[in-house]
Amino acid sequence: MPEAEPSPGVALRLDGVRKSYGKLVAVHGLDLDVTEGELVSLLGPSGCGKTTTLRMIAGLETTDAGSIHLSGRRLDETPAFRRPVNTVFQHFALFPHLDVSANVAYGLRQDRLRRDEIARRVGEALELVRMSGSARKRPSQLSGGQQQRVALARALVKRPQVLLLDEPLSALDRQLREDMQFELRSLQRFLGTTFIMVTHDQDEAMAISDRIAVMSDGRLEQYASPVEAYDRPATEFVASFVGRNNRIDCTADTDGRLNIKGMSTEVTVAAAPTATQACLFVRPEHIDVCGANGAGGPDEISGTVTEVAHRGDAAEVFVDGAHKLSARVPVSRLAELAPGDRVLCRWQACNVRAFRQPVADVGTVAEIITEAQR
Amino acid sequence: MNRQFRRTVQRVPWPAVPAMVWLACFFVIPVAVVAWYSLGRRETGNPGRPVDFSSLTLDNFSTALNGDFAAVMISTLRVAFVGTALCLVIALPVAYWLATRVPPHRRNIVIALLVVPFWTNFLIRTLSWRILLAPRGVASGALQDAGFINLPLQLLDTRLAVQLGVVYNYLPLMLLPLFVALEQIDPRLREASRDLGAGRMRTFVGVTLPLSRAGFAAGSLLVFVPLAGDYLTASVLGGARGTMAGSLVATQFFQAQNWPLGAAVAMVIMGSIILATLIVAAAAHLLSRCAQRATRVVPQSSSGPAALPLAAPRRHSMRSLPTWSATPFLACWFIVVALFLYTPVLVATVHSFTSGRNFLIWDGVSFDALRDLWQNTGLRRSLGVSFRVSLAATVLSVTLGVGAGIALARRPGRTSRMLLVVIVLVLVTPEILFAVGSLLWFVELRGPFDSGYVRLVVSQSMVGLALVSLVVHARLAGSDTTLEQAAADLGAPPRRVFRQVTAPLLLPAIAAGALLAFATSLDNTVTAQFVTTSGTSTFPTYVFGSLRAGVPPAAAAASTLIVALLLTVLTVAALSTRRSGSGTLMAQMIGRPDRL
Repeated sequence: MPEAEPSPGVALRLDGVRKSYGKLVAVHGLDLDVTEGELVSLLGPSGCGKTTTLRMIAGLETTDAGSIHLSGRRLDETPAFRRPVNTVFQHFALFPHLDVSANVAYGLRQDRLRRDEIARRVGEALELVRMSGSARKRPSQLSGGQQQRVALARALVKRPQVLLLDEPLSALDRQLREDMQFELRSLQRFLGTTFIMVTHDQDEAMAISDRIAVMSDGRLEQYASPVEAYDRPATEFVASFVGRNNRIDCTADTDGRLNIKGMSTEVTVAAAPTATQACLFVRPEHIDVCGANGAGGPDEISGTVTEVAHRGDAAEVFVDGAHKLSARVPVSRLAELAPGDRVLCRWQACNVRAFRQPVADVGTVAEIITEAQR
Repeated sequence: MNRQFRRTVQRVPWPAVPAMVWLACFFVIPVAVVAWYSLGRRETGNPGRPVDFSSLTLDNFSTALNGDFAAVMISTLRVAFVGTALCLVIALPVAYWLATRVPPHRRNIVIALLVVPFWTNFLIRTLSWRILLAPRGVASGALQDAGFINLPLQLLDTRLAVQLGVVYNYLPLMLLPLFVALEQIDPRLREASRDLGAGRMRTFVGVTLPLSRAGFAAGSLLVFVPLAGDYLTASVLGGARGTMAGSLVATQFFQAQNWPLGAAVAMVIMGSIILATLIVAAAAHLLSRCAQRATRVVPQSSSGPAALPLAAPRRHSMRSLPTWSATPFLACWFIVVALFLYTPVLVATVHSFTSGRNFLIWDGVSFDALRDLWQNTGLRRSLGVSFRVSLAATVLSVTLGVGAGIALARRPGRTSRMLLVVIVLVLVTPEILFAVGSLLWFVELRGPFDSGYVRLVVSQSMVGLALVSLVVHARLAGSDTTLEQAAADLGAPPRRVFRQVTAPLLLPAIAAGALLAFATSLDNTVTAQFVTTSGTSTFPTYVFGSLRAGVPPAAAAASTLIVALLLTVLTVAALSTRRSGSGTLMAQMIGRPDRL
């Protein structure tokens, strides 16, 4: 080892990073810390600013405000080609006029390394992604998965301090995507390099990330481990975006009690000066479906089964009553549930998350009041 | 037997047959006839066909390759090489700026802006340079005021003026293919290059350049070939010292009446162009092979995964240099080039209001030119001939070219490939060769081909046919066959599929091709000069004929009016097809068949 292992700590820090295109604000003052050797996913729907964030780290977009630091040194004032970070592009962006080994060597040639050094490192990188046999091939002769490996090798051969991956698996078909997820993860563990991956696929983010940064409309909604984001979503957006969830609309009193049509619950939200809209989230696997014998208790919702779907490892039951719900039940229970059946749905209060919906801006409310007084 | 026959019949690209016959009769044969004539002997007794074929000879070639002729040929090739290189250097930043910095929805407008000056008559816009470069002209005065030169500019009638003129005249032919090639490069490849540590120049050399090779080749060919055969620019700007090889041909035909020698010189021009092209192509190929070898890496297999040093990140030097942006430079360059393109055209427009008899001399403002358009019989008649001939040639081009285009796109095969080769040849054959061939062939054919109108229409339909079929081909190749299959699936028989689906798809392409063919035919000078008979002088030949005596301002006015007319037709057509959503006519008009 030529160098000592860098001390673990914050590898990359974003402070109030902002980017707008004309009137459209793509990223609102984003703060993010990435620890050395971590795999962080930026997760969100398209247009949430995750790719813009990645491109600002890579230097392919300029920042409007804020700063980016890498190992304590300012990064955002350095041009892209001098930054010690490299990118795996969404559709790989392999150079069509160069063969596989020349593609991988491209970045090293820019550093003006010696020929034998380049040859050695290209060989290692191709071995790492198991593409040594295709060194002479052109990108057009490779399958999607192979192109993906070459793109990885091309970025990794530069030994970046942080590897950026822009939807690295989105161009692959499903089977290959799932295989590659774990290959990517084991590669990352083996190398110990910090990875930042952009994805809109929450399964992918859940499966391989150390931490997930959930973004929406250019804002960071939650930055937490996959378990935390799944079990304790911080916002309404995270609750509905990460994992499957049932959303039940209701209202919340000033003291935080929820009023739900067709049932009552002990779950509360924070107190507020006025009563507002609220919503309650319960995951399909936390709903217990049983045959309706009588009216049911106050904490149960009664309804009719509208559809039953076999999902292989489990079955999904759709229930329509006071609220539309979907519940996950063992396949063994398929026999007793059929469309048209009356059923009761219940769950435990500890498995439920509730959010008060954002109130209209205080300023706006005050304006409305004064307007009314006139 | 029967089945085999039917299969053969099915394989024939029937829609292209009329075009193929037409191309064979009036393009392939005429070019071949030049070769035949170059072997003949001059015969003085017969003014209609002054050639004697009783004994064939190679003497004409030994004359054509000798002394003075060879010197002119070499200087022509030099002008052509330098001109092509200059066009490349000037066009490259503009094309790059257009392809990378201008948002896609504005690109067509900007390109139209760059191409419109070239609708001004070729001779008129070249003549404008005589106004600009005159010893007492604008450029001379500005340079003297700025202190660059002491004496009045002595540029006219030199080879330098010819060089400037050809660069001006052939720039768009370089600009368009370069732009198309650069635009097709995925911008992410340049980003990837930057991400991997390559700066601006290394990205250009390592990624952009190799990926746009085809555009460089096409542009260079499209400029070099017509430039090497051009003699009009030289005869307008070069005087006695700036003669180009093409004018030797014209001299042999129009003054010396030595047709065999003229034909031989035309063959020599063609031969030198092919030779020069081959040499350059070979050099370029060798160069790219060398570059490829330099980038080749033979990966070494390591001793095993334990040796992988990837885990230790290298400490990069993170100097933060002030990064300069190339965009302002590129934008400035574009403005300079746009000024270069527009200045002569604007000068020509202004000078059409001069009160004198000569367009080149400013003599105060007057609107006599507009009246003169009616009173100058020679000019008026030539305009009439031009419009009639161009209309007829356009109709012919469209009639034949649409079938050829459909066959190219929908009946691929050996025949279609051959047809495509001939069509491309029509566009890259030096016009002088085709002009000579057409004249000789019409003289052989006699009968209806003694009429100047017939000769003009037939010869001018050729380039139009090529343009229409290429535009139609591009339009159809761009749209896949699913629409036609869907119509067939819904029960439409082939004839109705064509009428209800294919034809509406093609309409904008046909309109664009027709407009392009019309504009090209209206500007055609060389071929018209060769094949025309007395009484059927076209507008360009009228202008060329009045070069000595002084071109009347009315001719410039006519040229400006033609530009206005073409612009109006284009705008109306573009607006009317935009609503139908069937492709932008603008894109097709300005030679962007790839963007249909």
